[in-house]
Amino acid sequence: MSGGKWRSFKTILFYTGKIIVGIGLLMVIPLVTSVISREWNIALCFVIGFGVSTAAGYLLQYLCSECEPRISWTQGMTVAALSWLLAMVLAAIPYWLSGFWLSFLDCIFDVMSGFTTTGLTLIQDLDHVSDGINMWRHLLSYLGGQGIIVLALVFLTRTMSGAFTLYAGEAKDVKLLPNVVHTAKAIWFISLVYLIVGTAALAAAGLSIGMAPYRAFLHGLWVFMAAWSTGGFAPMSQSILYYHSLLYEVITMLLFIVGSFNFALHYAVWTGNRREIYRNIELVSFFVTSTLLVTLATFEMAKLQVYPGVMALFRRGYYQLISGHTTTGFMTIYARQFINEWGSLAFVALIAAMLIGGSASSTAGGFKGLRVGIVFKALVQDIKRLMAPDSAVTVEKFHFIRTQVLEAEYAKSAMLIIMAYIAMFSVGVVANLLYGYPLLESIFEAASVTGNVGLSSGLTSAAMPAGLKVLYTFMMWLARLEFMAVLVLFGLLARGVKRLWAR
Amino acid sequence: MKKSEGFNSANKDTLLGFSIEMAAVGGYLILGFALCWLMVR
Repeated sequence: MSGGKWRSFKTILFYTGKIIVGIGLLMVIPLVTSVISREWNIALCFVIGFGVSTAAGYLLQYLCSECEPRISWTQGMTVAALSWLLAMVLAAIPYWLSGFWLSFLDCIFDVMSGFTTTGLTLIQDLDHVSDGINMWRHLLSYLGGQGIIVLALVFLTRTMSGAFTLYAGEAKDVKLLPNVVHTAKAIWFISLVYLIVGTAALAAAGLSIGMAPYRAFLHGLWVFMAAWSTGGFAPMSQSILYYHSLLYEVITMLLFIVGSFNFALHYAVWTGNRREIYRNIELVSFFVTSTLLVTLATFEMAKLQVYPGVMALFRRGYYQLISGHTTTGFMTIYARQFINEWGSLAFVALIAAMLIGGSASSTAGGFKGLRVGIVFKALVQDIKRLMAPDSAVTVEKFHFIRTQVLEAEYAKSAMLIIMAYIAMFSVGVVANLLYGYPLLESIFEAASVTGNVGLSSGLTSAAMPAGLKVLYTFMMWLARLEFMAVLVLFGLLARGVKRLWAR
Repeated sequence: MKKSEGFNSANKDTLLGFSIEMAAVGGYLILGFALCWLMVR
């Protein structure tokens, strides 16, 4: 390897080391939770995890200290993808030591599920998991939503010259403010305001159903983190059904719908651009697709009399549809009910909702409302072009923070990403079928993984084949980083291997 | 505070922004409930 390339490689590892130190420092939060809850064994798991992560991070920084002062776009993308991989292994250490998972692969699956805000889990005996472990699970989900790279930017990055490339590599490519650090702080400000309000509201709801104050607070905090990050982890195996509370369900719905909004939209509305709330193409797209899908699903469920009345339909059917569309994955019914009780139309509507997902540059997954809106606009433009005289020039516009002319490049990019998601969904379905699972379960689980949703038909469990666990882990990662950062990492690896082979 | 400076602390706009978002999503949920009611009828 030449001197320049070696230095470039060191630059990637140096910034990756910074992010790994951040992961280690974050383990202090569950460590403190364990100490408060007097879980001494679990506290020790986090002490070990903290030690390993910070040592590995500082070692990488020490070994690669002679790096370039600026990082390029490609380097930024590689740091984003690589740090996710390393963070996944290091964050799994406390999981593995705690004994709540059957294998290290299961731990890695759960960490990736948290980081990617998916919400599928392979944990054993969830109802009796310690407070420290629950705090770590939900914290990973919350931080995954906000972006571990953004966190690193705010707290760790010394020089800001390459900061934006790191940030863009994490599929949050909307630059809210000229300075990326201000952008990251704006994201955290919005999230922290919601954290305080959301946790207080859920804790109050917990108290109202008779939970003890400390438990109501912890559940409120954890459920908030899972709702806002559209992650879908829950402290109890019955998910939100456990609480049997309309108040809890309404508050979580408010939180995960707001959580699926684009951060640029939050910023616009919070700085006085109030008209954005009904003009934004993503919100219009979400409103149209969710209304259509909810209408189809509730029509079917009402026809089949799946639920006895309006309240049951709202709290079970509607809740699941919106939980799926925002890619949250909270459940108010049992897993098997999707397959056994919902009709075919409601089932298809939920699959479509999970694949479409929430907004771009948000905590949500799926191929995003922005892309659905752009492809729809491109279709309208083509129809207008066909109907217009040959000499006419047709221009289609869309509103996303500002009114923009729809260029062919936008439609092409949107279509490419949508096609990539559909291809990955197909791979997931085929893999499930190859392992011998029934068709409906296969489709449902593949859609849930592709959209980083977390709803489950019961297929995802510790008993599933290891090959499928690896595939799902990879799919969650690929979907959350919207393909590009991961493909850049593989492209660089392939190029390196090719050069070594050529020697 | 100028809009271009972003927000460093809570002010009238941020509070209003939060309220608008909550009202919009609340309204959306009421619509959803109305839709369920319509279907069950």
